[in-house]
Order: sequence, then structure tokens, then C-alpha cells
Amino acid sequence: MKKYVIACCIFINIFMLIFCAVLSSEFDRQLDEIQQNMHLKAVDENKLCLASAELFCKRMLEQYNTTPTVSQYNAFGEGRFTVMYSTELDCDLPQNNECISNYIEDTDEMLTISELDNNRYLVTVMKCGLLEQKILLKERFITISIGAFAFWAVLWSAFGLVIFLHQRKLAKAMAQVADGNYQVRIKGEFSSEFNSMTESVSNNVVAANEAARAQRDFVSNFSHELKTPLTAIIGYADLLRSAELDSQDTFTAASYIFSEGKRLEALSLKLMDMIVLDNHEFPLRPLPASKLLQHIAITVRPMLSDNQLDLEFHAAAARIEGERDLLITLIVNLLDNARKASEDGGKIVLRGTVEGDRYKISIKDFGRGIPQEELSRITEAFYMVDKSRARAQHGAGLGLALCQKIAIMHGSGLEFNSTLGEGTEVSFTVKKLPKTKEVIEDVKKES
Amino acid sequence: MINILIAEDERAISDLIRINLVRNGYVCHCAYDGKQAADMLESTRYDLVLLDIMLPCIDGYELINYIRPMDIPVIFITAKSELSDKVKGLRLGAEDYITKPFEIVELIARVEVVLRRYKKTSAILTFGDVTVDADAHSVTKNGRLISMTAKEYELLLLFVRNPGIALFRETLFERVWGYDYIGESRTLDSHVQRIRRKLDWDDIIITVYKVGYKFDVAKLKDR
Repeated sequence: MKKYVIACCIFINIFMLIFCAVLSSEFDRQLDEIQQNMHLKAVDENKLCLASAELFCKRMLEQYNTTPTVSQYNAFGEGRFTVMYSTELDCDLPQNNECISNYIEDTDEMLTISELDNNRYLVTVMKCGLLEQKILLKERFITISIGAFAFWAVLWSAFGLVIFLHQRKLAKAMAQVADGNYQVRIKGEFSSEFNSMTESVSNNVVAANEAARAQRDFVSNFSHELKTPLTAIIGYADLLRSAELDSQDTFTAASYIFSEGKRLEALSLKLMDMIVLDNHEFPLRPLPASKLLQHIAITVRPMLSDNQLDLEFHAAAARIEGERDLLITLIVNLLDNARKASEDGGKIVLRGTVEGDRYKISIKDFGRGIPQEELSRITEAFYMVDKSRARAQHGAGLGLALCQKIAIMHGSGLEFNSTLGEGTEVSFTVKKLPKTKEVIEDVKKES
Repeated sequence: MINILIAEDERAISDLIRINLVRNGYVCHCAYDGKQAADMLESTRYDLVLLDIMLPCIDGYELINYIRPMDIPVIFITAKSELSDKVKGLRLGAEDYITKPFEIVELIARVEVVLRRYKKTSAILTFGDVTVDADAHSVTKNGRLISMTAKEYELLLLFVRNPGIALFRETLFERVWGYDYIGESRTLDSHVQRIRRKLDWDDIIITVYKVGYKFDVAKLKDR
């Protein structure tokens, strides 16, 4: 917005300069014209001048009781008459190079009498209207110039004030940013630059805070996951060594030590997996998608049949790029989650479809679903939607975090589509490779 | 009879607390989520609630607001060990705070202190001819006041509060002297010797080989 104001100011300034220049030249021109007119009058209208000279002579006779001898006409708007000295002239005559001016009201003329030499005087007649016009023109020129300058000065100072105020606003906003308020937005000049700066700073800070929160949550969750089994193990072991327990309590204590120890083991294994995933490069290799999914389907069927779950399986043939073992881990994990979410006797759908240059693998269950507000956090480490149920099923809340990592390694991420009470669909994509003869043969064989 | 409600979603921890409290003569009931705990609080009158903060359904912070008008003391049990959590718990009206992992001796001691503060248990513990008054910090034998140092008294209190439990040297040292047991120290042995002599309890506080000491309350009854 301010850009337009600046442009306007510059335009107005240039306009003012041009205007002044034009104005002054116009004045000059007008003055010239006036004089020229007079000149033309004197040349073209000799008679008129003569007539007026005669009139003048008459008037001189009336006023001064003398008749001047017209000797000369002037071309510059003034009539010039040489007046012979007459003793009868009963007015003050100039002496010693003096000059006397008289205003004649009737004709609005100025008479100037000056001594030429002995007994000869020069009388100059000038139309006062012209004089006034000249003066008026000059005054108007000055007024307009001053007005224009004042306008120009006011405009510039207003503009300067606007800039100053704006800069103060900017400085204040910056101070606020320095104080850690990254939500500051300003309007006006530089606003887009400033706002995009605060925007990006704010985004970075939000991202950093988010990362810090995730880190803090991870540590706090990890310590919780660690402390609970440790408390149990230490407590039961302490009980066993300190007190004589009956066989029932001894058995309970020993079983808890065993199961909580197992829990710690599972936790440490999953953590190891995550650390390995973070720190190692896994080469992605070409894999036949339908074969891989078929292999998985066969592997998980016994696990699913324990819950009388039916696995529906469709897989388009394609060659994909991925790490075989990790993909198996990922899909089996997601299938296991689907199993946990499903009611006994339900159905799970495993589907592989080609989507452009990606291959989409989706796992759909018809179980309890995930609440919408939990969806964004379920891939965080240790995050559990239903804690007690997850515990009962020996979950540590690391499964989906692990799955997400694997999906990211394959160039996508887990996408959840869930409706409470109706089920959840989890999907991710992997890169599809162009078809080769081998694959085409595979497809033929399969069909 | 003291009724204690254990609200803890981890069965392992819940059972651990229950077994230990039952051994100390308390009656325990377990709730595995916040809703169950609220239901049980409504139907039964409890003397003490051991409350986990991270409970399913209704968490401990919410539940304590529900318990407070009932004038039942609450001890928080949680893995959260940050100071702000402790402050929050205590400000909400909890009597005490135990962080996981905790030792059973510590839990028992805290339970005892809270119960006594609420006059649920008698401050006066009697073992044969010996009487320990936990309020007055005094010990009498046959009505005669036995003079004891502060450390001796604390050690004695630890024994009488954990009858039949083999107390390990490091536990005793940590509880009474407040720092970790460092190697071979005769301090503990000399204190135990003096308690035995003053109370004539040579065969009551028995030495457990390679472990520590045990307050054998059964033998006291035989005498």
C-alpha cells in the first residue's frame, strides 16, 4: 500500500516542479504578451495614440495651462511627449533631474514629468491598469509558488511522519518478537516481509517446541514405561527375600517378576529397533509386491484364525522398491493392530493397488475405530489410545512409532482413516518400478 | 480394622502393594481404573486411598477432588517424579506422595504416618512389656521410661513397623541415616546392640545372616 503513496508523492513532486516551471513561463509569456500588445498598439494604432496624445495635450492645457508639443511616441505602451517649457505652466516642474509623477484619475493614467534639458521636459504617460495587471501577475505568481512550496513541504513532512510512525510500529513489533511473541503481525509497508519473517520464525519455534515436547514426552513416557516394571520387579524381589511368604504369594511374586521382566525385554527390543532404524541406512531393493503381500497373508492367517478373523486379500501385481524384512514387519504390525481392534469373527482387508508411480498398501478393519482427536498423536512413541487395553495386550506404545519410521523410509507415511465404531483403514505407499519382462511373466504365471 | 483402597491400573503394582499391606494387618481393596475407584468409594467407607495419577477413565487429579469432601487421606503413587507434579498433588490435598520405583518399607512407613495423623491407628504400639508412643517419641518398659537417642528410636520404630520382615542392612541404613549404605559399618550394629540391651530384646531383634536384622514378633508372643 505504501508503495502507491510513495509513487503518488514522487508524482506530485514532479508535477509541482513542472507546474511551477509552466506557471513561471506562462507568467513570462503573459507579460510579454501585454507588452507586445502595447507595442502592437503603438505601431498599428498610431492614430489612436495620436488621438490619445491630442487628448493628453488637451488635458495638459486644462491642468497646467500649457500645450505640449508632441514629439515622440513610444512603442512600449507609454506615450511620450516632449513638452516645451512654458512659463505659464502653473504646476511644479521638476528641477535638477528630478521627476514628478501625477496620477490622472479619469483616464487611470500615470503622468511622469522629468526634465530633459533647458526648457524641455519629457512627459511619460502610462496606463495604470497595465501596471496593476503586471503587479497582480507577479503577486499571483509569488502566491502560487509559495502555496505550492508549502503544499510540497506539508506533503513531505506528512509522508516523513507516516514513515516515522510506521518505523516505530515496526520497532515495537520487533521488540515483541525479541520478547518471544511470534504471533505479531503488522499492516502497511514492509508488512509482507515482516509478517513472513515472523511467520517463519514462529513456524520454526513451533516446530522446535513440538520437537522438544515430543522429546520430553518420549523421556517421560519412557521413564514411566521403565519405572512401572522396575517397581514391580524390585518390590516383589524385595518381598521374596525379606519375608516368608506362603506358596500362593511366592508364586504371584515370581510370576510378576517374570512377566514384568518380559515387558522390559520387549520394551528394550523395540527401542533397539527404533535406534537401529534411526541410525542405519537400509538399501531399498526391487520386490514383487503381490508375492510379498501373499507371503504375509499366509504368515498371519494362523494368528488371525485364533480370533476367528477372516483376511480378505487383493494385491495388484507390480514391482516395488523396498526393504523386504522391514516391509513385512510394518505390514504384520498393522495387521496385528487391526486384529487387536477387531471383534472376534470379523474381517480384515489387506489390499495392494497401483496409484500412478506409487504402490498403495492398505489394511482395513471393521473394529472399534480411533477417536479423531487421537489420530494425530498415535504414531508418537509410547502413545496409547486405550492404556489399560494396550497393557493387557502387552503393548508398550511403540508399534506405530516403529511403523511410521519404516513408512517414512519408503518415502511416505502412515495415513489413517477412521470412524469410531466402524473401523480403521491404515495405508502407506511405496515406490513402484516400471514393469520388466520378469514381472510380466510373473503376472502371466499368476493369472 | 483399617480399610485401604488401592487405585492403581498396573496389576503388578497393585498386587504388590496389596500383599505388603495385608501382611501388615490392613484390609485392602483394589480398583483398576478411576471409575471403579469412584464407585467403590461411594459404596464403602475407606480409611486411606492410595491413588495412582495416571489412571484410565478418571485420572488421579480428578479423583482427588471427589475424595476430598469425604475427609479420607490420600497418598499419591505415580511414576511422575517432577517437582511440579508433587506440588500439584500436594496442593490438591494429598497427604503424601510416593514415586515409582518405591521400596515397600517406605510405602509402609508413609501409610503408618498418614494413618496416625488422621488418628486412624493408635500412636501407642505395645509389644509385651514394651510400649512405643509414636506421638510422644517415647519408649517405656514396664512403665519405666527408657532413654534413647533419636537414631535408636527411629531404628526401633522401623523394626516394630515391619514385624516379621527381614530388614536389609542397606535399607535400615538408608531409612534411618538417610544416605546410602557404604560398605562395612559398625554404626548400625552398635545401635542394634544398644536397643537389644535397653529393652532386653536379644532374642526378639534377631540377626539374619548376610542380610541384616528381623523383628521376630512371634517369639515375643511365646515369651
